Amino acid sequence: MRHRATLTATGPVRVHRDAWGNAHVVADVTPAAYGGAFRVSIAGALQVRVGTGTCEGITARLDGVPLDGMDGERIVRVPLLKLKEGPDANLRSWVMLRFQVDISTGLPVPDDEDTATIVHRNDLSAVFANGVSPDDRTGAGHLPLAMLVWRNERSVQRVVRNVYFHQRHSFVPATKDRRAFHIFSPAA
Amino acid sequence: MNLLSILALNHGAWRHPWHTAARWNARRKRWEAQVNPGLLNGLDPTITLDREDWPRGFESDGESADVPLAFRPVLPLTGFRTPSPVPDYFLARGVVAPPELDLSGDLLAIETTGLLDAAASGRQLRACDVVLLKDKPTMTTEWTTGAGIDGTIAQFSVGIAAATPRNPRGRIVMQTEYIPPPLTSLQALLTGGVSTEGIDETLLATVFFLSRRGVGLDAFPDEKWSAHVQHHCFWNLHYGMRQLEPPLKKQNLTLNTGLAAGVGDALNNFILAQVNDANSAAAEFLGREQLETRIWSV
Repeated sequence: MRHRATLTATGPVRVHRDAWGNAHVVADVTPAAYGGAFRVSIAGALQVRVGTGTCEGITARLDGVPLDGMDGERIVRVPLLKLKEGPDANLRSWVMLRFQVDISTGLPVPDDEDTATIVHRNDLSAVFANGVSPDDRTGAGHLPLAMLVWRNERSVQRVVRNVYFHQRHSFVPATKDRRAFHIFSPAA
Repeated sequence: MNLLSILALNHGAWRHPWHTAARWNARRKRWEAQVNPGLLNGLDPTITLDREDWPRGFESDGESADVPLAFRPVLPLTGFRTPSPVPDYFLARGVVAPPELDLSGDLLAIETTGLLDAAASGRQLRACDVVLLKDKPTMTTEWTTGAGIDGTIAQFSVGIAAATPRNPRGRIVMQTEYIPPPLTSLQALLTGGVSTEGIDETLLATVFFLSRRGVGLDAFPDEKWSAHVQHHCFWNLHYGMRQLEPPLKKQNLTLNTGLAAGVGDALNNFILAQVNDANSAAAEFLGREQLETRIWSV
């Protein structure tokens, strides 16, 4: 006997249909935990998912795809970040926001898709120290979004988030005594 | 559409960075705190623990080690103070603040005893603090004087000594009572012979322990007490230090005071003006060279 049912889907209720036309209804009993911007979560042994986030109002991209899944008016699937580099000697690595500016102006280049990108690094001190990010001499600065704790060199054990808010960016030009650096701060 | 199954998911409560939970360890017979991992400049701080307190999965050499927060170590809470004044939250729950005794001799002994009995019969309150420490270089200032050709030479030096050992991570400790490090005044720095503290401290949480009634004024928190945590820090932190010249380099300011022998009254105002100018120059020099640190939330 076939049953007909009408489902009114709300935020915490989802419907999954399989190839045979069967439907599974998944409902969250309690509201989801606080997410915030740039939410990093494990999505496999060597992959993580990064939630949407902006820097200076620019939506960050992962492999060229905006984190919010909106490419113009088209909805696209956001890829997962692959952790090819592995951890450092202490079994740590970092998911980072890489923000690129024009060194001569300190401002992002208009319509540049590589302005805000998500990358994976296992060397923190090279790109972030003393609360700021030294410029890599190409106008790029890095902000750790989350620290990954690895169980071994082949799988990630847990994620410790660093950032919960959309970000603002400031560029401090170089002087004769020091390199240029980037400052990130939570957006209001 | 064939409805096959309904699955209800119950999400766990979200815990902010540095969220502290206190619990009683029945085996060790002590209170312990567990701090949710937070990051300082992208790295989780450590808690120094003896081998018997190391969490599962952590390995190191020696009998004591710095255990990163990501391993979920516990922080033993072994020292307590009696908070004064008592917060209103606990006054409403029956805590009687210990009386302030007047020892001038005018109080009769029986009156003093009555006050103490009232406090002892109520609920007792104890507290301790969970503090984040960050090593930083120390700064010293000093004056040296000597005779020059035309007068006296005064030299003002600002020295920076690197933190030993250099620890890029912060450390989390328990303190009986968190007292903010004293700020060294500009006047003291200009006077010279002063060395600043080599640690920056941030109060993360205060753990209060509330007893049942009648345990006595000298009671020590045990398993029958209840723990209440007041958080002071909710987000991850960045720590920055003003970028100075290479470490261990001394910066000097040399002043010619012109105080030659045979100074007469007519030169007093001129000398005072020179002193004021020298003081201003030293203050400006110190402003450029002194070590400053900042800690801010991400």
